[in-house]
Amino acid sequence: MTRAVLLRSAPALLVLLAALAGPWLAPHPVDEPVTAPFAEPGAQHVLGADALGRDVLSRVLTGGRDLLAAAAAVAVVVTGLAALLAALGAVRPRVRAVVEHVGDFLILIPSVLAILVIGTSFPGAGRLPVVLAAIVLGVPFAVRVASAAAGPLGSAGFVEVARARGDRPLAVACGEILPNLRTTLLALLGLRFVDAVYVVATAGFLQVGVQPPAPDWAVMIRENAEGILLNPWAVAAPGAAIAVLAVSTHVAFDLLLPQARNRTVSRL
Amino acid sequence: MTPALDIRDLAIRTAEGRELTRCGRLTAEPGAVVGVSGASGAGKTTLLRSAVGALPEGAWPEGSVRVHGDDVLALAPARLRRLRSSGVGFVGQDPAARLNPRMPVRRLLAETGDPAAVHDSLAELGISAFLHRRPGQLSGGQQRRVALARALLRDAGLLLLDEPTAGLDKELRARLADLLRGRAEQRGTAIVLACHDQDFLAGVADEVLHLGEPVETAGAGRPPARSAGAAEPLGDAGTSGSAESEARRPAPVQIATAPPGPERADGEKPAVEPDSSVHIGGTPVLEARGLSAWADARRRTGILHELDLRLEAGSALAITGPSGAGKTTLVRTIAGLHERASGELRLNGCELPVPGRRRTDRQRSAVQLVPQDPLTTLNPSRTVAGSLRRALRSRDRGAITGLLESVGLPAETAERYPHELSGGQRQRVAIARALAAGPQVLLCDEITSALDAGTAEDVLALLSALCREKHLALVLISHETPLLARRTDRALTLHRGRATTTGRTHEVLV
Repeated sequence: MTRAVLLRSAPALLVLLAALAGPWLAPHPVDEPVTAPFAEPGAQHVLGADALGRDVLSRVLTGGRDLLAAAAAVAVVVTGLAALLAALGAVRPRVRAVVEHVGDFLILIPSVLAILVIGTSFPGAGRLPVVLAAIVLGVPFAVRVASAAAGPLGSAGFVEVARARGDRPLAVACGEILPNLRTTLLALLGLRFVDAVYVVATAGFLQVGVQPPAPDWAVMIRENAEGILLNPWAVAAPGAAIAVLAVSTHVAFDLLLPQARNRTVSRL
Repeated sequence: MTPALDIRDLAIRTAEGRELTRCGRLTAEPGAVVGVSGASGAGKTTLLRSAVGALPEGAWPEGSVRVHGDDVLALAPARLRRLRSSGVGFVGQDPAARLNPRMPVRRLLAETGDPAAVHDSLAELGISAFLHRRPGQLSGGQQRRVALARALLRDAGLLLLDEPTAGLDKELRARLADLLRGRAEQRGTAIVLACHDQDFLAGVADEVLHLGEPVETAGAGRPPARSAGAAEPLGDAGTSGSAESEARRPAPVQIATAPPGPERADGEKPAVEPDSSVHIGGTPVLEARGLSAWADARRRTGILHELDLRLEAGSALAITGPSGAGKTTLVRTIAGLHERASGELRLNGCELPVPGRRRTDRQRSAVQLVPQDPLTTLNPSRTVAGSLRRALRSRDRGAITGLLESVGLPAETAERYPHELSGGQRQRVAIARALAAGPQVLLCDEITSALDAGTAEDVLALLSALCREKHLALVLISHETPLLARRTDRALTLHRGRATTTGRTHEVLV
């Protein structure tokens, strides 16, 4: 890995590190008022205070970990499932037809509405319903992309040979097709992560899943919106954190792509 | 008059300084047909691609390439684009990849010119019969013809063709030769074609440029046509296109380790005396009766019609026929891959189900296929050892080395990826993979179509030696009738899914 790649993926690494280690770095307790509500930034409180007088910096440092974990889980599961379904579909046209039809149906469901319905149906279950809903609604989009890449491989010589020697469809899908989808899947993972961050954050903003007083970037934006003129940092800091997390991770994934370039036989 | 293509002292090297191609002088005046020949890896494709300004990634050119007077290596992107769109027609080696899979042939042709205006040349190439189909529904040879027709319709001043004859049968090759000559003479198109079919080159080209060291073409019968003598011989004939200098290095091994024993002595003769082969097979290994196959599930478009076939141990059967005759479908049906088929198959006298999924593991092992497309025959993401391990279903290193040895490859090949191997080496690995299952029947679909004459000869020699040693029933699909005639005992000619002639090779294929 070159220095340029490290340098350009540094923002992503910093945000990840801050989000993961944040709870230990927080200078103040996150759930007690330490100063006046919407206090302006000062020496004691670098980013000022929120609606209840709690330290914004401490809450920003603490509020990313769960969001990040939820988004990462959604992205990994969605990409993994999509890869498996697409590879199986390339071997078995009938599987592909069923997956695509079901997928087309799921794509028609408005995702925010679905997450609202599912989240409010299971109050008190925390983030889990939101994560599950995001997976169910994300897979159809991801399958489309992965299928397009896997489709042409279904008739490749090495797949025919594997089928002719009696390998089970799952073995052909995992052993012959998946290794050739590396680049596509890595790009897909990056995109799904960004999407998952936004979906989980939207749910948080709508107070589906996580509830105040839990420190969470999306919940903070909503809680502190009324005091935006008194202490803009209470809204801007968590908002910027979400944006930087999504964008910088995407950039980092893009940088990884050339390293995972598929080995194709392009000439005779 | 400005030559349509004028290459001088061209050398293209990779960033590491390895030479991909070298050409002292190549000039194509309007109306001239220039052939470029040379062994696989001599740089034919790189040379042709340089004429449209497409160099391999990270490669450094030296010398000049002028097309209609413009130096393409120094041309601004916009002008290069204009030159490519109007001044040059290029047909690459893998035309299937260049045809939009969603467009029917009619629209593919209309994109580059008015098909009505040149209807004659379409008829000449036999395309009119499948104007409504999409590339996915065409055979390899048909796709190549569509790509050629697209290039011809462009009516550009310079036509660059990379292996235009691969996948075409004798008759189509002759028609193509006429068509190209006509083009050159009537419209003054300059045509440069890279090809390893020496007979074709001799028939169509005004002059032939030989790249790299001249290869011993054991099979080509005639010596290469009048050599232009302008190309300097390469110091090391084993340089190839992309990152495969190491891969090409063991090239001599291919020849040196070609099957031992009687094979070397009587390389020119069939694997088995033709007379004995017809009688020895008391019970055939594999027998097909009334084999039919369709392209669609509703059985409307037939590909094979009531075909009968007998394969005997230790003997080789050649399958030939015009492109689109159903040769590939026939072997895929036997291998259990084409499920829209009916008929009776018998393996050693016992019933062999037509759909592959109903076969037992032992039945599957007994019938092995070496597939057609040379680019995808091996999984690009697996090393040679990885591919063989999956076929062997064991991690035994000794077995892998043994397999590689049996196809004449050094043990180091095991750690390579397919893109690091030459075309001939890849086909050898594909054969080794088929042998891993311990087959009784080996079906080889056009495995030599992308190889130069010398390498093709070596691969076929290997196959006939294996056929004899392991008592295999061998099926070879190919258009190269002279090669087949020497390596097979019996021949079957297909036309539109029906067997037109069957019999001993020397009677059928002459």
